[in-house]
Amino acid sequence: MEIEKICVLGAGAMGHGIAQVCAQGGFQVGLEDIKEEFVQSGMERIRKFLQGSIERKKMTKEEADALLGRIKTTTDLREAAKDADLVIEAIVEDLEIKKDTFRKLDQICPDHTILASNTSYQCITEIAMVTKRPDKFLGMHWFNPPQIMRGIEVVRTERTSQEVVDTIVDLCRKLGKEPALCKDSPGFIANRLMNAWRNESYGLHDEGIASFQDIDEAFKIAYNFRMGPFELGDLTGLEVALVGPETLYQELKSDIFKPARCHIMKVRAGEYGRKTGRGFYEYK
Amino acid sequence: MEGINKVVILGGGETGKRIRDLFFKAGLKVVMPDLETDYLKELADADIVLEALRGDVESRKETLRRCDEKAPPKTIFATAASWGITEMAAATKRPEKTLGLNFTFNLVEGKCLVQIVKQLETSEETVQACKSLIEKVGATAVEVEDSPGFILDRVMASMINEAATMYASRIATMEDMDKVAKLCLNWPMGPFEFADTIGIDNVVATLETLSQQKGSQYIPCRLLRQMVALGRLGKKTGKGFYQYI
Repeated sequence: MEIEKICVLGAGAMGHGIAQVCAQGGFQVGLEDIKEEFVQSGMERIRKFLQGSIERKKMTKEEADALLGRIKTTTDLREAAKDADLVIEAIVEDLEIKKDTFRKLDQICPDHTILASNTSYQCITEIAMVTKRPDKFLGMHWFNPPQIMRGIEVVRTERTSQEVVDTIVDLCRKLGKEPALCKDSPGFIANRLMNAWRNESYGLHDEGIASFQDIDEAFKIAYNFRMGPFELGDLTGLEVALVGPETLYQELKSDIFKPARCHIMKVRAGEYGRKTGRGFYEYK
Repeated sequence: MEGINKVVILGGGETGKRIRDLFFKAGLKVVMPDLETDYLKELADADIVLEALRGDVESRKETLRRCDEKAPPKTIFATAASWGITEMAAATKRPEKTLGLNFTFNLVEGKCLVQIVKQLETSEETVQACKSLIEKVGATAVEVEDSPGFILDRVMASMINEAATMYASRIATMEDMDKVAKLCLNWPMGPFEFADTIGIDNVVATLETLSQQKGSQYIPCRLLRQMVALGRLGKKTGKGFYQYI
């Protein structure tokens, strides 16, 4: 199966970066979002990134222009998806909105089009089953920022065909990424591991066993973690981060993921981390 | 309390030797007496006795009891043990001067983390004296209450148990899971590389204690138990999740 044209839905934090990586890989890209201002803000972020690359001599002006020339923007879903070989959905993390979007895409796209969702926590199988092509549906889970992070989780369901998996694995490599295969399951690989690590750390703090500063310090000094679990929560945004243990606890019924008290209370207190100036740590 | 000058290390294993080297480089007076001979005479002017013996909690308690009779009242009793800190403190007449000093040597960057393990009776003065000692030798100190696995072993064991469960249920291969941890989470190692480094027996022992004290979510998964039964303990035995020559 040959992929030439890729449609990226959503020009936000993930979508704009995914579009940029695909265009950089030589693919024709259609970047769609529901409002013109969202699309333009996504394009602005791409231009800024490319400007940085040019300044650091990682790319020439000509290469950057050619890359930008391969991205067509639109607010019309039909326009973006009608001749795409692959659609990567990176819209808002809402199951019903995602299902609705894929129902439409299933109608719009040609039969051969592969549909992929960049969801972090929604069930790929559940979304796939709203389409008439679950064999051509999978998860393609990128990490933030997509331009930098090399790993991509390729999530297959019981219904995904091997040919489709192979095509996407191959595409990842063409884009300079490292694919990791994963069965559809809550949190896939990365978020399940990370939440096990982070939630256990938060639980330790809940129990009064160690301060959050000391827990962060321990992981950085002993094992070279770049960030401790509390710094990471503050960076992600604790209200966003809480979706992890909540979803995993609900799906897996394991107390390992039972949301920690300190986490819940920070969110209730509106102390989300860096973005609010205060989470576990204070930010000026 | 005056600063710590003389350190007596009991136990000549790998941990004991690494600790000795660390203290020695910082210019402290370090003695590592032969336990077969009369080591108790070294205690007369010791500021701290650091017990890094192998063996169970009972034999370590016995050693501390003997030290307790010979050492002057000022001497701090520290143990490098991974469990039983409170029990050991109870075996002495100086629980306020007894604590755990759990060393983790970061072999990649030459750094060293020391988890200062406090039990209920450990005095703030004792903790502060150990903190200054650890800073003096260029290591980093964190404080933790005596509890199974302290900070690092508990969190890592729990995470590794989850990873082994995922692998056993064929969600992904070990290699792909380790790859994701490194490339998607920016972790220095993947869960199975960590497991082989920490030692599968240590991971399972931590989980056993946690599951007894805290609940079934810590019960070590089938795969980890079987690996211990087969002696596949990680790098130290040449085979764990991965094969090492």
